[in-house]
Amino acid sequence: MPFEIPERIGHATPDSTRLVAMRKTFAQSAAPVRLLPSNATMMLLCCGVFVALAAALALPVGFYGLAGMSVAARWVDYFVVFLLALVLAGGVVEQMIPGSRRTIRPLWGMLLTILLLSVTATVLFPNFDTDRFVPRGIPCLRYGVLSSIPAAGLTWLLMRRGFITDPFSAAVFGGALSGLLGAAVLALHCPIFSSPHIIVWHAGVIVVTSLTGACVGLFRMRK
Amino acid sequence: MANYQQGDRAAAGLLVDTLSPQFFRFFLGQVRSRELADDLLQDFWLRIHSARQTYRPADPLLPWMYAIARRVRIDQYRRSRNRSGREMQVERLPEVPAPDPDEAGNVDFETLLAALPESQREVIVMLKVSGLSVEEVARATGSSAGSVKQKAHRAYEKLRILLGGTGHAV
Repeated sequence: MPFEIPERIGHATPDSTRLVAMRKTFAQSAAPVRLLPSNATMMLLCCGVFVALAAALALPVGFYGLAGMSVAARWVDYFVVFLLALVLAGGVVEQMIPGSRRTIRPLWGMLLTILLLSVTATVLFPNFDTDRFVPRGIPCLRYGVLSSIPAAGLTWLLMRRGFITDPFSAAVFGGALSGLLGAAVLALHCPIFSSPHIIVWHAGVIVVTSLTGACVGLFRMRK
Repeated sequence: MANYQQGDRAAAGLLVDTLSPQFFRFFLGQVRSRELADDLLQDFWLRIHSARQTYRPADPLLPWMYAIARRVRIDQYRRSRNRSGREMQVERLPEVPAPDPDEAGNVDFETLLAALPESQREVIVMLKVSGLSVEEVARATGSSAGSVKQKAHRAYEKLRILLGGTGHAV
């Protein structure tokens, strides 16, 4: 014999006095709202802001990376970065809509980003020079992380328009997207075309910002 | 819901009237206290109100609402856990024995649910009490349908073990 859902739960109704009060408050404060645009529109908007902000942040330090690359390398490198921005922006947008289908997990999004950037760097720049690896890498990591701060602020503003049901995942996605912007700024600026440098110090920006996002998300969840 | 988003007051009232009992049962299935379930329901409607711009009329309504209800429940759980962590127990409370099956052979549903981990209990309440489909539960919990099926399967396995002695089927 199957167990039965007790009467207490199966037919339970909320307190009628409170329900009347709730209905009254709810109806009184009903005002028209502007709905969120479609996911595709928000993703494209995100990517548009991403490109503009990356260019704006690379401008003060110079586009030496862009100038030093071949035309083919430019197309491949920036296309991959744009594609990853689209994927991560999709993750951010999904997190803003409660009950929306989740197509990618935050950890997978972060790993995919780092892996694809590393593979692209290895294929495009088969130079494994590690001369002055740390002294030349630290400024890149620092500028990448600094560049991701305004991106994180803008992502937070965007997320505020939605309703976050999973602060941890949302913060990791936000952190990864901001970190990718830092990496994009470095791809425009940095003239060091060595795979280990790009994999450790440029992709490292995404690791740092994603971990920061994870900490922020955990903090928000505990509040 | 679409009318409510456009500021229709009657639609807002209708929404509260129609869906409150269902969400009240969802909360009651997890917290076991009518008063707390009423509080959660109130909090839930406040959040629905502040998040109403995120609902798209083309999407299914229930997963959207359950995702918010789930958030309300999680926040309440964390608040109570934080509070109980700070409070000192002044005296030892007597342990309540688990109720036995009644004369008709029915096993207390809440006692069984209490034995399940939070994530499995939530899935069982959504599937069995609220009557959502696997796909709707997946959307509400932000996971995949496979993950929901796995949690439900594990919960059923555990319930089978718990009911094993009484010969009940799940």
